[in-house]
Amino acid sequence: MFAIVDCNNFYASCERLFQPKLEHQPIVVLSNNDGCVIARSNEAKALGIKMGAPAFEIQTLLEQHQVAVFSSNYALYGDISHRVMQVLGRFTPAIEIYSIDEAFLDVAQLAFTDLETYASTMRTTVLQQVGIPTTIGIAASKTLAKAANRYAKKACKTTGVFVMDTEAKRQEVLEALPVEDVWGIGRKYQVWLDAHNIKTAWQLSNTNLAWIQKKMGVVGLRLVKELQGIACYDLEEQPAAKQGIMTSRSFGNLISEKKLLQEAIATHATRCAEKLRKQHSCCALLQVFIHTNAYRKQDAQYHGVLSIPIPTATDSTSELIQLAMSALDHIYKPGFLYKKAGVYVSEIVPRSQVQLSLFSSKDRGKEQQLLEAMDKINTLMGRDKVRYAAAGISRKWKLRQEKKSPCYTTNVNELLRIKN
Amino acid sequence: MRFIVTSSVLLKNLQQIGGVISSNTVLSVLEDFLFELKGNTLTLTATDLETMMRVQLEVNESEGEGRICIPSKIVLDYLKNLPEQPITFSVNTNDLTIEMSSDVGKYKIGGEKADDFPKEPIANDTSSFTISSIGLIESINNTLFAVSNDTLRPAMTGVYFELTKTGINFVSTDAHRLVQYRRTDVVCPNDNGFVVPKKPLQQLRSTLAADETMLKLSYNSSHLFVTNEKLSMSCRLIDARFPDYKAVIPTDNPFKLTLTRTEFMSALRRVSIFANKTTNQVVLDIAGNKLQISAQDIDFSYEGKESLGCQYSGEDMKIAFNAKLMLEMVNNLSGDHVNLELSTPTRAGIFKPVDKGDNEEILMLLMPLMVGV
Repeated sequence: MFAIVDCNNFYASCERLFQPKLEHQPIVVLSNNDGCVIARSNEAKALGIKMGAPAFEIQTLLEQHQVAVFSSNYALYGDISHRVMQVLGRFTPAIEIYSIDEAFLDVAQLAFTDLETYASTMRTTVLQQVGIPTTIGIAASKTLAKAANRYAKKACKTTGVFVMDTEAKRQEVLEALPVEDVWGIGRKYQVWLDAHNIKTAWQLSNTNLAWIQKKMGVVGLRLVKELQGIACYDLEEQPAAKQGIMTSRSFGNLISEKKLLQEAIATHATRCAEKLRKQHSCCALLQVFIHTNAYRKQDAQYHGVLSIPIPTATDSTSELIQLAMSALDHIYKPGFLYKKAGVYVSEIVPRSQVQLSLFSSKDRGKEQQLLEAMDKINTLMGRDKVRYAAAGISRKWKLRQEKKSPCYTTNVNELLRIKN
Repeated sequence: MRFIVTSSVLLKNLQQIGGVISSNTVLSVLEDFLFELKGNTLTLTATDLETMMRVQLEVNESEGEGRICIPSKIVLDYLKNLPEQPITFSVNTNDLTIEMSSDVGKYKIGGEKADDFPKEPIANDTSSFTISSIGLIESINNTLFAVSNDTLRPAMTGVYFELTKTGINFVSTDAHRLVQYRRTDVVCPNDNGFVVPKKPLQQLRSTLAADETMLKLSYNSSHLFVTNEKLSMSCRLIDARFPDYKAVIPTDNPFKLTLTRTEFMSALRRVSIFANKTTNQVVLDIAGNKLQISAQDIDFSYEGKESLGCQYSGEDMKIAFNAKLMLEMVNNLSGDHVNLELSTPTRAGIFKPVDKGDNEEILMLLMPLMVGV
């Protein structure tokens, strides 16, 4: 049996945590650059605010109903998420952190425990110790647990827990679940299934397996089996090492100056290198891209991208910055207003298995020490305390975050003040 | 124009040059063979703009002269499905129609104008030398596998022909490994060098007969021309400087490991199944006269280990290589035994066959992977 614990309206709940006056008030959180709505409290949902709605389009609605609007504050959400996961970890070691606000737990070994009570205790503990409301779905497979969780959000609002432990309950849940809301069914498959008159998860779980396999392959087959209550996916307690790492941001304002683009690219390259080192790997391919804002029809459009193979796979910040800068030299064209820039590294190999090159004989021993020291300082004293000058100081290109809440739990200068 | 030719003879000749034609061509005329009839001699040509191959054959009977481009796929498919027999080609060069008639049937297709077919590069200012077919095939076999696919470093995407008065060095590298194959039975007029792309070499390897027939190789600054009595090929050279490869060949690798080639290869094949799929890392642990080969894939908790006997003179050492690259190299060496010369775990290892062939010398270099940094 699998349980999935899902934090309700997670970003909105995090914002509410430190401003209790917002209890029962509508809240929305906006995406990077304060663009679109990416999280809504129940009250905001009731006002008819859609997920992904552009902020400027619903401006009047937001003002009219005095909706509390926040820029996204990932430092805060990340920290609160970590606290939630820690509390869950005390209940069982068999936990897979699936996303920032969801975790799968393997509850199969709790054969003699009443799962309903168990889940309920977990829920109240998280609420009491962290302050985040959650919903828990329990079923025989991960896909069914997801469905049970969805069902609980609608049908068991007061308890917040649904245990799918009988065949009748499975049918009840799946019949109420539109096929496009099944975990793993995307837009394309939905259209195809719809054309074959499969509209609910229940219908999907009763289709011919050979037919599904022909169209959707083994992944589709697993999906249907999971819906039938046969677990095909295990808990992934160790996250798989990343196959590619992307760092990119839209700029707060459009940029045409090369120097600012260089700073942004250098910063992204730095982040990629940090992430590589964190998972003890190196990359052998680096890609840089820049592009203009395709929505601004009045501007000339340009999309530049270049991949550079790296002779000897690396995790070195300076090497990646150097390569990224030379890539930018090739793709940069003056006279355009750039909206976004990014760096993507791939062909990732473990650091202990790097193929050496015949034609580049760089001794990396010393640099390794330097990077380790930098990482240590930045971990202890805060991100970017020591950094490469190429990444710039002014950061004129950085995100627009006009309504960002303080980092209550991760920055000592932004602690909550009870009394001035 | 009209001619009669035996179907199997025509098919064999077309297949010899057909490999040049790309599957996705920019111009429709590049999907064609150029047929040229003069007297009883039929000349067939195929090209992809970079490489051009031409072959000549005698037809059984002919009438008139002329040139036309004929779509390659349809004519090959037809000939492949025809039992051996004489077929008559009747070509109307005005309306570009071709009629092929056999004992049992008549087939009509449309061709294209011969004048649209790309011209052969002109062989100006060439120098030349000769080499036996088998010699060239051996050279290609020994080097082509180590050529790089990295188009950002074009020089490495071909085989370097380094000409000296005492012989030729054929060199290829992908920056991780390097092969230098030397033939001393060739005399070149002067010291020179050029880089030949992969495709024409592949084509030569599959077309040439492995015999002692002599080939004439002529080159200028932009092209290579290879000819024998019946066949000729021209190709554009890679316009880039080959890296200074001699500087990376270690001159002093003091430790020498001697292995039984097939035994080592089978062990390597087995162990590498358990290696990390991206890096293919296997670790050679050499102590005394014992070699341990091991691999692990942490993501899947796979582990493999094998020991085999060897002859070793040198300090005990642990060095890691990419098993896939190493297998390819050892597989391309001949003889029962190979030597692996080593110095440190971060410097290139040199593979050489224990037995040397006549008029040839081969050396292969492989860079290790970092172990446990």
